[in-house]
Amino acid sequence: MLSRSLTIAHAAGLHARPASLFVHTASRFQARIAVRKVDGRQADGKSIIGLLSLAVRPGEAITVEADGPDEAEAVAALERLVRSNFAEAE
Amino acid sequence: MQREGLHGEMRLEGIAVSEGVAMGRACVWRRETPLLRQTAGPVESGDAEAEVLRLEKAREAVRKELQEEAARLGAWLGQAHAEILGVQEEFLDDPAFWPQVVRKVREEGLPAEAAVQRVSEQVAAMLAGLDDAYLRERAIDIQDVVGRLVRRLQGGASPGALWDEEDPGPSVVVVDELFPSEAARLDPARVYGVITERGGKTSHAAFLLKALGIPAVFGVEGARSAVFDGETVAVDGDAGIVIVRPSEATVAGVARRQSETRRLEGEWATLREAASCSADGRRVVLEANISTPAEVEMALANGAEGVGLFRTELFFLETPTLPDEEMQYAAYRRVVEGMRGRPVTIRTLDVGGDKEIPGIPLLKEPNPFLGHRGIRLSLEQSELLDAQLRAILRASAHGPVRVMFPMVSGLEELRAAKAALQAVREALAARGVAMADRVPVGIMVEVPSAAILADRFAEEVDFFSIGTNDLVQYALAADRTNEKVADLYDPFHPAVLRLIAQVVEAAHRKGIPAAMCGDMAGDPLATPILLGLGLDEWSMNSGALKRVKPLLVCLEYAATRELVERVLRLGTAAEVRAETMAFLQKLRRRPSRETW
Repeated sequence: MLSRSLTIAHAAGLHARPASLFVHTASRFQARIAVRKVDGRQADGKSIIGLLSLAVRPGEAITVEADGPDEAEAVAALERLVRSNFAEAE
Repeated sequence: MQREGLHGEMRLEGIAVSEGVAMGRACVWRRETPLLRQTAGPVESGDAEAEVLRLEKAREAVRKELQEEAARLGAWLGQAHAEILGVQEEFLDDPAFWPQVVRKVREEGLPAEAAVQRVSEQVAAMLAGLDDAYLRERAIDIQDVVGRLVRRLQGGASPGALWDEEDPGPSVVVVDELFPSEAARLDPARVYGVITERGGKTSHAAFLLKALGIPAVFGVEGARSAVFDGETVAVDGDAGIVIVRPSEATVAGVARRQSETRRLEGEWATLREAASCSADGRRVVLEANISTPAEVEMALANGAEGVGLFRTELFFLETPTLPDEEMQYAAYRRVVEGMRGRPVTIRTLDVGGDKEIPGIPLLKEPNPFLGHRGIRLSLEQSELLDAQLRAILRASAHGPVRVMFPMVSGLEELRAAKAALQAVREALAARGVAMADRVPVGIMVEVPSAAILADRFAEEVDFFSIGTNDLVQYALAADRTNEKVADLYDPFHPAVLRLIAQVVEAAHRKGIPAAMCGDMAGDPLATPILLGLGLDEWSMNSGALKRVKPLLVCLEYAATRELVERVLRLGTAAEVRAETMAFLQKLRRRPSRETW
């Protein structure tokens, strides 16, 4: 299992388009993907409902955990997505 | 909620979600809650699989229904509106939803309908309980898709038009909460306005009503008990006010505002199609910035004369591996064909800095904005650049295309990029691939060195496009996302204006156009300055065209030239803003807006 700590900088937090992009990206991998908040609450990274229910706000940190054959690629892809600020910076 | 006698007018307040004023006969919707198939007890264990099968069939029917509705909405209101239904489709596949429903049937013996409702209630309650307007709105999307599932399970077909009764006349719908699927089926010719008890600005229903041009006020508590069916109600979607049984004076006020709105809309409808030039005939080209092919419709609807900036980063981000030439070609071609002969400026990949994409490993840099980004990265990743240039050249066979390189700081980079383009062109030509004979090449002027050296660059490019967002932050050494220094970031800083003036002048001396695609181009306060500076092409987010063009056509080029002469001699951004504001105030004949 691999995990990575990331900070959500997007002005919407992990909602709306960012959440949807996250789920889309996560769903492309076989690995089981979990997203954990600092308060210990956890959600399925492939579930839009799960991610929304975490209510991750701008500036909050999350831990992404992937477990499975393509866990390294999954974590790398999600890290790039988050670090690119969901490609909205211009 | 108090009714103040049956005659006086009554005022209710809510949230303004869709602009405009409307008046009509109230039509209060009483919802029928879908009847659950009552079963005496739990499903027999032998029947559980049959229930699961029923569920799966219903899910596929709903999926098809959503896709058809999305296609219809997309054709009618544009792609962004079709995507609203994509959210509902996502819920159908969500691991926190569907597997739970199936589990309820198999393990708890619940009938399909009950299982769907039980799980959706849990999810909706969880989302609704969060202290967050956006999430509360998503609970509505879940209820909407659940309604579709239950209807299918009970053998219902696709939902038809919402209005079955004979012509009810102009109506104002009063409802507890409007589902996106209902908003999408409202006929603006019959429904003049909408009032809801719950819901807010970020709801999908609100987004659809705006697109349909139906004025709406949401979140009016107790609306359904305060308004009687058939009463006259007025909806002020600008102020978020509802007037029940309006007085004669209010009725007259509504009529005046409606005719003013129609006049402005009529003006915009004419203006949108009219050539964009100043009052004294100075022609400028107004274009749109886009990030996806879907935005073409919006650009055209706002009268864009071309795409001045097509950012290509988004597809790169949305695929886990790098998009290949074919994918890029398909997307560029869609934009070029969609713009029907209007020029499209495609910017090569601008990643690095704060923007990363999957598939390109970037080194951690201590100072990413001064690091390996834009053309610097593309020149190093030559396979990537070549594939993109091939896709762009191939798209040029379908309409006018221009190519633009980002983050150019020196002539060497421009020359290397042009050499890459030429090599790709020759390779394609050798294979007999169709492409335009001439594809103009330009650079983003966003690094101060390129602005300062604009006279030399002008000899080697076909156009400039000033990227003010980066130019301002580099010229003023201020990151606008850093609160401590954000105040220093100001496109109206005289140092920035002098750089822009220099770029425009260098372009004109060489007879090439000077464009701008940064946020400044869409800022109406900057409009007189940019006109006076002689900027030829202005590219902005589609929505900004509606704000800039009406102003542009009122301005006199001659007067703005004098304004520019004055502001270029000023010392601070505050002075420039004050001078420009004073200039605009003298000119504005703004009718005082009527309020109730």
